[in-house]
Amino acid sequence: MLSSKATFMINLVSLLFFLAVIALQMLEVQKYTGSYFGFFQ
Amino acid sequence: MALINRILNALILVLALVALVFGVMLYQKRQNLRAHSDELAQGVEKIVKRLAPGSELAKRATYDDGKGNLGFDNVENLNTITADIEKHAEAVVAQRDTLGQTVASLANEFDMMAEPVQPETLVNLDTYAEKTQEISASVEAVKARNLAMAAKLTELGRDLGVEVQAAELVSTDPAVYNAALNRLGDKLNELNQINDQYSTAITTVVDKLGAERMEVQASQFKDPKQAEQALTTFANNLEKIRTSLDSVDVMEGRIDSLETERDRLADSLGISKENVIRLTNRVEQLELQNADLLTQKPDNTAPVESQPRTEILEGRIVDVNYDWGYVVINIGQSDNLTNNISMTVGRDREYIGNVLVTKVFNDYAVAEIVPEMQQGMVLEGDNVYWLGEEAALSTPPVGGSVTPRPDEENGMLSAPPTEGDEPSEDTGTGGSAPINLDFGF
Repeated sequence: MLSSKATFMINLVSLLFFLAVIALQMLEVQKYTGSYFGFFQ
Repeated sequence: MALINRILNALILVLALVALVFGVMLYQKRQNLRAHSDELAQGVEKIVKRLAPGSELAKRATYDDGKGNLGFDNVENLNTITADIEKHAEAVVAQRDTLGQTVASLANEFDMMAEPVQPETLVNLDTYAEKTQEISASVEAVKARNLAMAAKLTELGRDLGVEVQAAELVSTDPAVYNAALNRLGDKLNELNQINDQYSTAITTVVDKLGAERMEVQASQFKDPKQAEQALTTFANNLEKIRTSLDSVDVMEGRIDSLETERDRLADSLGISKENVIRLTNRVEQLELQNADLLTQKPDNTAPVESQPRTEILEGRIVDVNYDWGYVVINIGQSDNLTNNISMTVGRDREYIGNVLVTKVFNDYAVAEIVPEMQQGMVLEGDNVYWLGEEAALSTPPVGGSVTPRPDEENGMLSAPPTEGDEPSEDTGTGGSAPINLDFGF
């Protein structure tokens, strides 16, 4: 088993990864729709 | 620490779900955009084919299920093809503007429209349809006017005797319609010249005959509004003049006959004058001879009882001179005619008058017309009679009675008395019985 600290680091990296994915998606949809939240238009 | 990790794990799970949802929605959005792009590409392809059918640009600007130059697989050529399409569109717009300006200019130049056409109205999509309809209607009206003029000119040419076809007049070939128009123009010029000559002739005739007599003025023939009435008046007056000329012809014929009669009478007068001269000379010769005889004859001047003459003398008037009042008869001394015999003039069974023989020649004699006994015009060819002294003393002539003149020589009558007088008994022959007169007319 990994230590708690290592798990924490993995979790933090995963969290940052998904945040980056969502940010990229919002940038992409902003190009198409002009809005960062153009997913709902 | 474990708690923090659990919270992080939960947060990661949530973010993962959000990222998944956003990914799906982003995919749908891209799909929509792709479909939109495809439709635009197909629309552009259609537009290009409509704007430049069969051109190189139309062959290049294809969609071809995304594989053509407008497809999503050839994004690198999209800018080039769209630039070419834009250039072509600008050329089409320029062509449209030029056409609009040209049509407006033509419409304004031919003055077909009620008001000038602005080119903007022809390039404006909202107004061009209405304006083009107005121009088309005006063109149709001009075309109808053109055809009507051609038909009228053709009819005019037929009336003038010039063969002009309507197809020639509406032809777009200048040589064709100019030839037809020149034929018409030449004929009109010819007619105009003839008209001028007629006008000049009529004016001259009116001037010669007199405007008052013709009841028209020469200037009226040059006014189309007055020419017809003036011509009618002119023709009526010409008819009157022609009728008068017919009368003049009749009068001329009568004058000719009178002149012929005058010439004949003048010739007769000339003959008569010549006869008078000749007779006068003869009388002078006879008087000279008589004087010679008187000087040579013995003295036998004892009165001899004269006996009334009983022979009947009959002759004919061969010449009449009314100016001098004498006639020439065709009996003379050879017929025992002597001077101072009053002879009766008759025509057929009509008593004309008496003539008194004044000069007797060998075969003719001159006698004066007795005016108071004249009951008709003595003419050439009338018969003259002397029925003897007894008849002359006792019998009145036809239509009157005879009274012997007291100054008669040798008992002969020189002129009959006036009508109604009784015969005198102291003439020395009063005892003679009247004889029955029969002139034998």
